[in-house]
Amino acid sequence: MANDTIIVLPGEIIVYILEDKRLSLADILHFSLACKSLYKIVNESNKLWKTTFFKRWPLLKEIYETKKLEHRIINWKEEVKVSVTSRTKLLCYLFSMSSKHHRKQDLTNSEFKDLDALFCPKEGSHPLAYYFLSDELDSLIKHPATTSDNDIIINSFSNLTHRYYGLKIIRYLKQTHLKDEWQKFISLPLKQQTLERGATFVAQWCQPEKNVSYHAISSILDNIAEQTKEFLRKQHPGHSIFSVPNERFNFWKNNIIDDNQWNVTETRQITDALCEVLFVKLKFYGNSKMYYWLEKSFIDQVLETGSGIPTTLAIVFESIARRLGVHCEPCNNYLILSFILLDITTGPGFEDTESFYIDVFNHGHFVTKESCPRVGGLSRCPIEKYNVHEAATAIEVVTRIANNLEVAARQHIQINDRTARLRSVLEFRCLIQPDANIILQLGRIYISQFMDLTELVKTLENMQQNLELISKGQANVILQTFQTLQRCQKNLQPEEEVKLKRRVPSVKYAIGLIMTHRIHGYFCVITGWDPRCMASTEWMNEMNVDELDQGANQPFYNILLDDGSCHYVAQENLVLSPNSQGINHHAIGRYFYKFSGAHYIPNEEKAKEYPEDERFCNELLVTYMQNRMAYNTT
Amino acid sequence: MPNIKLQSSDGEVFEVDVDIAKCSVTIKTMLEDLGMDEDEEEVVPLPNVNSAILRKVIQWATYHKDDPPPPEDDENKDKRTDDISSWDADFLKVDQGTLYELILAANYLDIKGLLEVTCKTVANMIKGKTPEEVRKTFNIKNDFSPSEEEQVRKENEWCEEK
Repeated sequence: MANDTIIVLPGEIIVYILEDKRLSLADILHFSLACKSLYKIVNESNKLWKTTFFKRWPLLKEIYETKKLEHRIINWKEEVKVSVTSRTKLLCYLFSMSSKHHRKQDLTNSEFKDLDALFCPKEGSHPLAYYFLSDELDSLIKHPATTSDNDIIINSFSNLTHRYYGLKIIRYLKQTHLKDEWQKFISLPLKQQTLERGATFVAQWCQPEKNVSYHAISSILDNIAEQTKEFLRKQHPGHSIFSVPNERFNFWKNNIIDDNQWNVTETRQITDALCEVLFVKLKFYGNSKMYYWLEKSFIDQVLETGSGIPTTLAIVFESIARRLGVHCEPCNNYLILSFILLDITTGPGFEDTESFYIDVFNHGHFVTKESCPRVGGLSRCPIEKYNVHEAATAIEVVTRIANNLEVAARQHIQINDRTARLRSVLEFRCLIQPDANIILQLGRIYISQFMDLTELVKTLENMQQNLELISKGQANVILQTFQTLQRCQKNLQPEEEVKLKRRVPSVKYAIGLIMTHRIHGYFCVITGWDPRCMASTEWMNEMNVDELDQGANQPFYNILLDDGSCHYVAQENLVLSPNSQGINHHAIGRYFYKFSGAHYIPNEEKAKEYPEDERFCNELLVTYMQNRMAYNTT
Repeated sequence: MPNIKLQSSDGEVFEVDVDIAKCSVTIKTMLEDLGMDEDEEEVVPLPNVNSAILRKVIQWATYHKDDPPPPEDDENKDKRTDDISSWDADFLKVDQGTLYELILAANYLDIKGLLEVTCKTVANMIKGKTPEEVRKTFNIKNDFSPSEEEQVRKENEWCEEK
């Protein structure tokens, strides 16, 4: 009987078998190539390709759901194909970056232009290509070293060099996308510009390496609103909120409401319940110690940890209260932003309006005109002010958060990513409200990182056309400075040929070795050396190089420190000290692709520049280990 | 313990505990729809399953009678990738013809657990194979001409993720 071949099974069972999670795309393809009838079954099953798509990329489910695309895709095989091919192209691009850019301190956005065709629908990409690519990078960053059936791809991020450039790509990718999203957001009707959307935007912009989704944030807020309702039900089972149809709640979730949906007593019952849930049960609190921690400004982290700065807490409070039909407004005075206005209208005629402030920074205490603390004596009671000022819009609140972030980024203790963070924040400010001063500050960062100024010059030129005469002067001065600097930059273009560093006997160490500083005691890794000090005379004078035992006439090393800084150090101050911790420096991947457990292994570009260092380094380490063992046994 | 009689396509009658028989959704609905009384001496005919396969199915169902019921929602669909238990693996050491007949029976009788584990077994046989190896394993005749095969392969090259 011929029933011992798999063809006896009906197509839907074959499809069911192939939907198995452990089968890769190649497995499915190879199976289908066995004969025509199997190929037909596989090729024509939209269901199989759809399952395969979400099996392979589960996080994209949310995108298709929120965009309501799931049932509109006609050809899921094509969808899988585009997703695979655009990811492959992305990885190709990523792997080519080191050879192109290794000599640059940092990259400006203009250097990623080639990437646009891969993910911008305007440039002809698939409409969801952005999500495919960011999904790819997100999952690579999240699981740098896990083993999976696709070892080649997963391993590419345990490669430090790929990781280094991958983070740069993800930043460009997400921020480019967010620029469009921001334009969409500000062109929405004011009523739909909710605070939590704005806050999510900030969190996404400033943490490109993290997968922050509005969907996730919004569900946490929904959940707290539900908890509040439950609490309320126990306290006041007859509350009229329980007779409200679901569509109303949905409307409040996505639209700013004009006034309270309840009478004074019922409003108060809701806000009391919300305070109880938010500040007592879920233990949200205002963080006064780390006011300028960036994390406390990001709504995702505030929802995760329960602690935040007033602005973000106020946004959380407002968005939950709104979900429950309570109208709150953020107050416009930044000193007292920890207060939120609660507008309680009594009676249907609105003629008698009573306002309260809720101090979200202090467990949601109610503040009235009488009990309002005057902050530093500088400010009047926010309720008095309220009569003068309009409530802040989402855009104003976002602007305020951005200003806070700038201060926070400048005060960031870790040097490691301070510049990157500050750059992100400034570019963000530039996006929401460009002004000459921000561009000047941004220019300083670009110049310090030897980055291309073209883009800033363009922004300035555009801006000038719209500026009032009085601010034109300042912008003009900055523009001219930038243009001069640009010309200097062009002259400074590094020569094409890499000068090979042949070893000389006086150089005792090699790139990739982990050292300690004889005097300061810090750990560091060597990224380059010169047989003698090559710094300027001014630098040598300033650093008192001639006070060293061997002065400037000894090898000097470029090193990266654990705290994120870079230095140029004399050989006599360095001691070999391999350790298994490695160095935590953001630019490690620019020079090395791997940590061996005792030293760093240079990437292709670095190895080319220092062709003899790797062998020397290995020999040195072997001798070092032998000596140590001999020392330990005696 | 109430029993029920099941009749295979070749006429053999099996007496089975009702609870065990009911792991088949098909039998369960049949009993409910027909309002069959448990002490009645009626026989349930299963014209799509022969005695050899029905015996295996009953053996499987008896062993798994205390398993928790399979989750209904789609969310848990992913979980069917768990490893095959050693008892099931032993149970499924059969020739391919029997394996396919078991799949067909599990599908017809609507026994989710058995369908999953049998299909998983086939998926394991597919994993990591080239088209040529697939043909060998599953005894499939290649009806593509070399040029057709080359063309189909080219069109689907992207599946071979690098």
